[in-house]
Amino acid sequence: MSVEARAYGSRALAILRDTPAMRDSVTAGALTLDSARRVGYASVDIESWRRWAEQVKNHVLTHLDRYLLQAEDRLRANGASVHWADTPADAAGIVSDLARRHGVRTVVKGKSMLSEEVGVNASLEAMGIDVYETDLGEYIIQLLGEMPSHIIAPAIHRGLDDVRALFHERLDTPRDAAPEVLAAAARRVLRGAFLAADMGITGVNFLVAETGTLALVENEGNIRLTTTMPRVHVALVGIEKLLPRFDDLATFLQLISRAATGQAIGTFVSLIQGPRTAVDVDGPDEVHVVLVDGGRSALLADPEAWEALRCLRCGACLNACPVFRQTGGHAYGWAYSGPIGAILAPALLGMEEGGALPFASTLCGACVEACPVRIPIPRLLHSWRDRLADARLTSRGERIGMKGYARVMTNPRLYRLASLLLRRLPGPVRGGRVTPVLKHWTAWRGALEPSTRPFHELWRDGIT
Amino acid sequence: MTSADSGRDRILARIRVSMSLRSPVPLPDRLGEPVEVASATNVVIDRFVHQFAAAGGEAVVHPDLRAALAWASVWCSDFPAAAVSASLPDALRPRLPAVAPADAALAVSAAIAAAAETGTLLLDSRDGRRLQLLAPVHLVWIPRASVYLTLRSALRMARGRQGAAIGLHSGPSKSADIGGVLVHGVHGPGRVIAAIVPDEIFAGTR
Repeated sequence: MSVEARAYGSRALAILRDTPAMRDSVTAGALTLDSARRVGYASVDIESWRRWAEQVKNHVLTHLDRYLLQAEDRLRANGASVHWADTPADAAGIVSDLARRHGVRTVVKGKSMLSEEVGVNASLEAMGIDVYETDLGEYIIQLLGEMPSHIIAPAIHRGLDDVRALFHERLDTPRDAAPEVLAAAARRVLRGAFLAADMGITGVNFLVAETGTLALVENEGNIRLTTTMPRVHVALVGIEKLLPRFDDLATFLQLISRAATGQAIGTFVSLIQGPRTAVDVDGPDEVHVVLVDGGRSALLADPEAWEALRCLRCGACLNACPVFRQTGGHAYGWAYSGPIGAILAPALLGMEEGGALPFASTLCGACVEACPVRIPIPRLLHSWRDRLADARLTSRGERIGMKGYARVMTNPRLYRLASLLLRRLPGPVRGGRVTPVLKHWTAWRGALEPSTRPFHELWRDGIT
Repeated sequence: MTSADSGRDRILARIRVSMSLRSPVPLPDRLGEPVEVASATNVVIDRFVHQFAAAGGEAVVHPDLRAALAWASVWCSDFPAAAVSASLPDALRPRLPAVAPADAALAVSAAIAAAAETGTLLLDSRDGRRLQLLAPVHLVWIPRASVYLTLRSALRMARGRQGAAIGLHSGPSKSADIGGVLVHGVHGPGRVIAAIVPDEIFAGTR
């Protein structure tokens, strides 16, 4: 996995400065999804659903060893093979070994953020295997050589004209092709890949411990084809993806769909019990489930951040976030972006690599309102900021600045002196035209003009 | 001990250490109403039709076999051939040449259940997953009594009766990945027609 999370600031700045159309695409797409989510939430008793889902996931996480072992037993009884991967590299190694053992030449993939975290494509391509992303958005960014910029809408940063130009160059479609024509062109290429593929790789949305059922939600049908056509299906499963009971699926399938897109349920849900049986007409001969830790078991020990393990990867917090909507996911520099990425990064990447991301937030709280499992994201962002400051992993300038600010704001005499100085500063300095940080503000807006008299004087004189 | 076993043991050991720091949270009861016994009232059927249409699907309700067959003979005549699931009752098989799913313009199968609250068809892998996915148009017959109000009831009915997989289909394949414009039929069927018929047509089938 390519990780450049520590460069968040410079990447975000470059996106905003160099590609304003990207911001327009991300903002429009995210606001559409957020609006649909609000409609989807409004037609059910969403607060009861969210509280219930939070408790179910907390129960799973506080009994995780038991449910993992139960799921392993059921999966094996159903004929699936179970592998355990301590690290993302271990998971990539398991998939590569399976590909080698089965003489795989072509792989089709369903969209999976865990596969991005693991870096499956790179390891398979290094073996000379053709890997096809089959989700339409993933296919677009694969052709562009980009990472996903959203958990459920990987090409959200690309507009129609971008795709027209790309497909004209790569698939020979007309320059002004309609979206239907573009989709049909991608379908033709990918249908060929499905028919030729030896292995299908997916993530999963849920793994039911009681029955060993893998549940995958989507809208295009590519995941159903990925788990149907090739002779080997490999499912990458984060160890936090468990549900205790088959009955729990009915609510979680609807909850994740409403949170992600506002739909009552995703268009296609695959509930997979294992490889094809004697009574099946088709389907894979082998199903391999790779249970991936990748820092999750250690995160479970964190007194606050463990709550991030409830995440369903629906993307609702991304759509609600005014900071994410400015840049899209590429600024975050790794698989998970937006508010959930900002709280997972220091835990899964380490505080040095992921420490910039908890600051990519206004702490407005929109994410916690959107989250289907009530992860207290702003509180966790605060917690990471405190820890980063304690570990002296914030910038030196910021530490000095905040220390000085605290000193001034907690001392009335210093506060009044600072206020006086600010009012007496020469115009260009006070107005921000030559002041660090402020000059970026005033490049696009009017200068800051402090009142000629301080507020406490105005208050004293009754002029407010 | 293999390296795979040691990986498993390391993960479980770390989880147990982490869990020792957490207070166990009890498992809440299942959410919602008890599972239905009866189904297929007119209200349930209407809800299914509404939800399926909202998801982009087409639904028709036939009062009897005669009406269903008359409708099907006209509707299917637009297609040169069809892929048909083996479990479909003879009466509902279209009078068309049979082709493989990958070559079919039309696929015809039956659902093992349906959920009204989400507009969802539950499809059994024993009928062929390729058949359910590869043709651009999919006609799905549903016995009326198999339409449940809630997804939970429908799933519970289907549990243990299926092959290796159940597919839940709620309308046609769709994507908005190209510039946010909704497109149907990206990978799976671009048209899905749910035809609800009286239960007796399915007598003797699974």
